[in-house]
Amino acid sequence: MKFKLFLLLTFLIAPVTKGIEFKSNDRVVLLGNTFIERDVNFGHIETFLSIALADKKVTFRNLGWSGDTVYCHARSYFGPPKEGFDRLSKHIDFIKPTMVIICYGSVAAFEGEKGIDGFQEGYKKMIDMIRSRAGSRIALISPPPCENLGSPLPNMNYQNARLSKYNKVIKEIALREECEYVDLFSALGGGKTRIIPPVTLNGVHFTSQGYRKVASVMMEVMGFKNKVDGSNSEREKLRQIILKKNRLFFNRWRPQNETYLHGFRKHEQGNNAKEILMFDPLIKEKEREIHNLAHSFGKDN
Amino acid sequence: MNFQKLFLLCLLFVLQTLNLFSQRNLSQSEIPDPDPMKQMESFILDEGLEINLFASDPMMAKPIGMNWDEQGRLWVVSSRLYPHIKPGQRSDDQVIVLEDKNGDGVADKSSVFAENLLIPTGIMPGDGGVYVANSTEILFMEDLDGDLKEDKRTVVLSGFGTEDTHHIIHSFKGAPDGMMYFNQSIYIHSHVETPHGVRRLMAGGIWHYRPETGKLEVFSRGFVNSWGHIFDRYGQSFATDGAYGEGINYVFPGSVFFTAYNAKRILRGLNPGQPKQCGLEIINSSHFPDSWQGNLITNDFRGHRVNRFIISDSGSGFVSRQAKDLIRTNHKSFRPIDVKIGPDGALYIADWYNPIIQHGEVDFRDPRRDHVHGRIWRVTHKDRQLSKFPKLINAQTASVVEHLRSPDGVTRHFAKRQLRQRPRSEVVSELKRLGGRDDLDAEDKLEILWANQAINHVNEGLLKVLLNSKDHRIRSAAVRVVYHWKDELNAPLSLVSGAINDDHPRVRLEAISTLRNIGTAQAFNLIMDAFDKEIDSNIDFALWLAARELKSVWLPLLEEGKLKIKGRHKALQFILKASEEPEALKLLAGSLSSTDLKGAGFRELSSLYADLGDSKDIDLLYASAFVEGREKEDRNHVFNELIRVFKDRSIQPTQKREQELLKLVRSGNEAGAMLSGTWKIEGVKAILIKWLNDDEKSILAVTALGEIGDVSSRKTLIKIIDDNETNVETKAHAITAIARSNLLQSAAYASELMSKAKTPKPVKTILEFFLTRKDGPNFLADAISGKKMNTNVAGEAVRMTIASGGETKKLIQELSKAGSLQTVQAGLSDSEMRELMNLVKSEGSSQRGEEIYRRSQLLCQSCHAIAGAGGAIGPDLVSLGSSAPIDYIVDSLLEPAKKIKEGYHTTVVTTKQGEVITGGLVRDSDSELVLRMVDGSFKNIKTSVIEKKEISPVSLMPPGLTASLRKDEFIDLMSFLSALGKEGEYKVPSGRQVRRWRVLPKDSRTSGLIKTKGIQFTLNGKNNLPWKPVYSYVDGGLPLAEMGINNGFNNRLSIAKFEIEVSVAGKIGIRLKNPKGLQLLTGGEMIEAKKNSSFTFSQGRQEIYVIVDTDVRESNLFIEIVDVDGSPGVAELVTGF
Repeated sequence: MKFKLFLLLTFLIAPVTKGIEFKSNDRVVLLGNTFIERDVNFGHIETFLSIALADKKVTFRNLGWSGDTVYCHARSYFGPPKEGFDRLSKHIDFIKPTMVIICYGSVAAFEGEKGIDGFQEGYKKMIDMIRSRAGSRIALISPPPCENLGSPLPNMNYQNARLSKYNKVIKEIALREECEYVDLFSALGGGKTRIIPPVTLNGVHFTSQGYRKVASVMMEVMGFKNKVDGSNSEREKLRQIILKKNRLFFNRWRPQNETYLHGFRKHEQGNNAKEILMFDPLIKEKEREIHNLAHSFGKDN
Repeated sequence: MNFQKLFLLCLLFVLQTLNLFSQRNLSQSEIPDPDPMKQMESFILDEGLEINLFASDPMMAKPIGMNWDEQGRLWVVSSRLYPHIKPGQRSDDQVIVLEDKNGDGVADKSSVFAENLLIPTGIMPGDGGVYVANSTEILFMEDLDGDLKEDKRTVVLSGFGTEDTHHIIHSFKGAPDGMMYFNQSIYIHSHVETPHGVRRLMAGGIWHYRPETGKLEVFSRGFVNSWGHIFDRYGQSFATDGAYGEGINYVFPGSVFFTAYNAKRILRGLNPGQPKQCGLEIINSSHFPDSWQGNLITNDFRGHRVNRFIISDSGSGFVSRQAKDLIRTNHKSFRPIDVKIGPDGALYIADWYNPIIQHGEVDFRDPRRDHVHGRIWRVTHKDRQLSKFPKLINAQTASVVEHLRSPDGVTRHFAKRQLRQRPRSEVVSELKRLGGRDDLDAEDKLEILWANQAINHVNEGLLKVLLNSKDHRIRSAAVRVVYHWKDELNAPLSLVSGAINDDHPRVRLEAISTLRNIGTAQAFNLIMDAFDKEIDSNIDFALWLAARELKSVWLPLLEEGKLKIKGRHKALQFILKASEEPEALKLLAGSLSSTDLKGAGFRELSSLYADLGDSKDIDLLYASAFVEGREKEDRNHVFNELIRVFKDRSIQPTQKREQELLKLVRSGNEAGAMLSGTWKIEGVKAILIKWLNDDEKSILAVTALGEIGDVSSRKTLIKIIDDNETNVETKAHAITAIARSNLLQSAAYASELMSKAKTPKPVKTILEFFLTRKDGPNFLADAISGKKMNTNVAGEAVRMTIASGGETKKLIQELSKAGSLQTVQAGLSDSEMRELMNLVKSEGSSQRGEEIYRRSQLLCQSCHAIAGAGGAIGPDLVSLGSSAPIDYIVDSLLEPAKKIKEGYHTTVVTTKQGEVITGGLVRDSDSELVLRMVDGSFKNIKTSVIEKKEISPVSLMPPGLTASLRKDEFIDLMSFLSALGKEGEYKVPSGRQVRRWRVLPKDSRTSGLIKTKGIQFTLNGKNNLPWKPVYSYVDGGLPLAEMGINNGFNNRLSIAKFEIEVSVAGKIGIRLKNPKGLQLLTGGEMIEAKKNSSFTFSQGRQEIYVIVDTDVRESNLFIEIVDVDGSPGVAELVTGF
């Protein structure tokens, strides 16, 4: 599908100049709120990155969680809200990522100015936690702008103005904490341009085509402009395997029935938690397929 | 073989059985023949009803939820994966569409619309596609080419929790105004991003959502597992719950129910003590008789029944009464879980078909789980015509709007759903045309208003007409429209200013909710008007909620003098109290210091001061105790609250007024003595030492001396402990008293006392203390090590220790050694379990089992109720046998901790003072936590004093309760428990039979009173008689043998009483199966009993005495309360312990 940007092709003047560097065998975690979480269903970002990094055998784990903030409160279950932060810490221990790509801010921005201090403080705490546990390299992505799709959906201009402020804050944090910074907000027009056709369903949640658009814009900003090989059908085949891997991993790290498997009723059904470990070899197998397929792109033409 | 030996043998297998558990391959005999015709033959139907099989496997299996569409097709979500996906298993659950093309009431086509789903739990066709709950998401699926196959899948909402797959979002429901509602249950935590911001819901509740605006909000919170939500003809909501038994619940905006996260206050269901229900429908169908219209149909999936409830207006809310079941059966796999009226007006019932329900207590992989069957049954009325369902899909908009006037709810509903897909301007003009007709009744107009809402068109003119309707139900519905249109209307406040003063309480209730939702200063000033009219429990809740949610709005108004108080001081006090703002206390000082406020009102206010007050407020609180004319009980309450304040927050008044206080103590005031001890007032010691010789006061005296804890007090206490003359109970208290300053020394004395004890009572005192202290159990264990104890006493001590739920392993070991106890905690191996289950079937007698269940030393009834009669500490056992396989019942008796029912986990709280409190969690909020204690009482704990809160893996049910039984007795008990709720003698019949009684044991004082004053003056609630709880048999009968006999003038009398809660005053009928030898007495009026009699009751709790002349009567008592024709009176039986 072809996209047209009204006004300028703003992503060409996006502020990141140097690309993001990936290394061989990098274990990459994608971390954030709904925007990250829903790519589990679409896989476009991962597909593009997997192709661009085909020679490096990079693996991806999506730890997005709907409604989450830098404090990770949405990740808590029966304990106090801070239990969510502990849960993320455990997942970082489990994956030991070498690289974490983080995108927070769209939930916090609803709080506007008064949420900024807490956002900065929380973001730093999260970065420190990841570094101390896994020593990962970290890239911060600014959240995408919202779209105005007309009544009866709400007008998002005000929210975009707030997101713009948060984008500046994220850039400052990235500088201060020596993280990479990917300005997705500006690259997608900063809420000032209208993308036709729209990339979201309701102003905030991206469609499959929307994610494809985001993925290609991200490739530009991250410096992989010409590194995405393969025909559309090859990419689609790869994406389907990635989706299968994502579903397996979702059932691995966020299984249903957590109450009984690892929660306060584990004395009742905890014997079934052993099944959860049985997802690991299945995920590994899919990853092998992903690497082999991505590696074959562009080889025979 | 002696059963205790069996336990010993099993001990060896304990560890293995835990692992073997999931593989236990038990007899399949409990699994019925899956032939649908055999199942159908087992159904017992209410008069006039017929049933047929609409659809069955293989057309469709494992239905979890269903809904019809505008073309009369039934959409079903089906899960074979439930309860949990296996690694490598495809997530291939389905959406199935069933069609009855020839209209014969049997599905003739089944299409798999969608696959690749993971335990889909909710479904609602509409808006040109279908909404489906899929784990963390709500999907919208579209069929673009009309082949009934999914072509396009969109995630519309995501972020729903999945912590338990029978709690994930469910019960999708299209509302009359075009919105979509859905529920989530207790273990779910959801965080959903929308264009309006993130919306969060912790634990259970009901959401509402309007897809085209992206607006998602929480409508109501709470419930355990609320499968079932329905709107009545006027848009009022009712919900059912599959795990908390209060039957039908009336739900309004902002309402909060049992288990809601962070809830300070909750509302109750309309049928406390009812079995649990799943799925809910309202009869709004011309196919059913007039008398059924508005009745609610729901499923008792444990008891294999389909129930009917009749609801009627009561104040702002409703009352609900159970009518005869539609379907009963003893078919073990019949699991009715959803019910919907179809396009033909018949009732369709989704039968999940499974011998096993639940996956918390029953293993995920239990081989008896059914993954392949499922049924949809169709219930019709023999003498009635089927309803006609119109073609909507290709009809002109002009004719679609006509269907808004249909007598069938289904037709009206789908006409509105269809209008949402038509061009808006066309619908607006057609609705206008219809609205202009002069033959419309109020209900028609309401449907037109809702249709406007459904297409997001504000029609203020029609709204105003309905706000002024003569019918309160229409006015209420119109106010609710203002609630949702608050941002669209120009002047929403002016529209509800009349409603807040409406004569009907429901309209006022709606107005309060709407004004709260508007949330401005002016809105709150209007809410204040509601205090001028009658306030019932729903309105009281709504006002309380408004006062709390809007405190940042009205507190500034109050300070500026702009709050519309108009002399409503009670109202002011109400909102100040509700706000729990420390600032608010200053404004209540006048009330606290006067004696105008007395009794409960004063005590509530003084507790508020104790909770929130700073040291100045505490000075004021203390001074209020000495105000001239303060009643003694109220003053003592203040003293007790001051003790709490000191212990929780170390605050005490600046002036202790020692002389005044000690004067009171000298005159015998015990609360004052404890307060003096707590404050370590030197002068009280001499008085306490005197009290040591007073049997009635010695325990209090040693406790207060312990509080003082100085050298001389300690010496006094040790003297008491060493003195052989001291009675053992006082000694036990003295031992705990010295523990406050020296736990080690106290433990040494305690172990001495325990090794000498012949009865458990003093040991109980010791344990109650040590089990609630940090390190207490371990210190005591060390002290007991090497000592000997009486076996019975040690047994009782072990039971108490286990029930405390704390870290007590070491203490249990030492107590067992000291008492030479055999370990009783053991499971059974596979073969033993099989043998036992066979014996239960071949040898067990449920009748003998019921007698064993009733034995007081087994304590069954102290913690468990059957149909509301009995304790509320453990789950109600009314349908135990029909919901749990025998092996699970056996396990839960032998190893209670292995499987714990939802909502019955033990919470262990450690306070900053080092006290450990254990109980079942009732409510948890930012400010306080409420635990249900083992004795059934409630304990409120301020969150500010809590250091640690944990959910314990230990059950409140002590293991080994059945260890004293012989094997044959155990088998009989099992036979009884496994028969409970199954069709037959051990299914509680419907109707309001009296099950919870209080009887008078033989007692010389009671006999004396009867003889000297007469029976009427004895039973007047004033004589402090030694009533004892007794419960009916499952069949409803109360055995005379369990009642005491007291002598009357010249006869021998047995006396029982029961209580009813009258919600609407009026005549209430009392029906006796056999009136022989009975007299009834209530409110001073005594009558000779007849089969049917009635009394006029006023509102509130009322007692009814039954006097039995045992010279004349021998048979059991059966009493039922019934409605009296033409009387407004409404009453429910009081249930519980």
